[in-house]
Amino acid sequence: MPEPMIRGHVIRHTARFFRTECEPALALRIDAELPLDLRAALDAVQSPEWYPRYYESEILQAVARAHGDEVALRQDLLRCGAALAVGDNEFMKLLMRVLTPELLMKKAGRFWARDHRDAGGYHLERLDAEQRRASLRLAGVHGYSHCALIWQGWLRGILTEICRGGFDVEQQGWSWVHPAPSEIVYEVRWS
Amino acid sequence: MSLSLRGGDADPDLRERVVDALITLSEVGFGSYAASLKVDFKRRDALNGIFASLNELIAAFGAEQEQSRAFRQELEDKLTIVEKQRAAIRELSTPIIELWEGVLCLPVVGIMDTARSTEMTN
Repeated sequence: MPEPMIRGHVIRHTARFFRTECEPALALRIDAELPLDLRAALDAVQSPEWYPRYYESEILQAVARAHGDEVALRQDLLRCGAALAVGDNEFMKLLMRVLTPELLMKKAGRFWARDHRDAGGYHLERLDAEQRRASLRLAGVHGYSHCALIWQGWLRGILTEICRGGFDVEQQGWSWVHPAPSEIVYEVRWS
Repeated sequence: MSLSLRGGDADPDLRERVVDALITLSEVGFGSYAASLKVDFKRRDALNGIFASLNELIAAFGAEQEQSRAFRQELEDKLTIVEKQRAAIRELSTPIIELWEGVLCLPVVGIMDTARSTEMTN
């Protein structure tokens, strides 16, 4: 079975986010929690290249250990995911001008495939354009600890850009005691 | 183009094709030049022409980036060699011979500058 891979830009973003957007003391604790070989490897990560998914997973686990508290971890991972959504990619900024929530739901799998290889994917379970709600299942993510919150934040980040009204994204599957379920379901509503 | 796509009544097919194209282009935004836009040759519309042209641009830009990367690597290799040679010259320019305990001999050939005298003192 091929090893799940992830794009370098996701790893770089996550590492940079927790080094620069957290309190310095927390950033130091996160750094100290990282395995030594990964800490050394992070500086050489290139945005367009593919890396083993456990790089990202190890970072997220280090973040969780450094937080040691579910509420703060949830907040920070959602913030990190939201910042990852558009970032400084000019084409993503353009995309925000034409993307609709319905199309986001339909294309979530393409976004995932852009950033992940042999690493599961989104499946659109249900899309009700009239009721403005959808259900997305993220499957094949066993071992990808805490990814549920990063990608929940990512969905929220995109919806913040494209929704004129409010929206809500809820996840089922992740919990503090079960951080790496094989499937996560996102219930999305927008107005 | 963005104006006609902003309204809710924009052609859904057109919007979807533009979204698909921009998702692909966002890969280019991350520096991956292997990406290419899907061109449907059965269709004869302006968007297909634009996509085909963009594919050529991405390929050309990717080739330029590859060449630039190769040049950069070559330059770094040369700089490493120059640094090694510089270190070797530095060692040879201030040889230290221990004649007997507490007595050193430093043959000096060539110009004595500040850097060299500091090295000798150290």
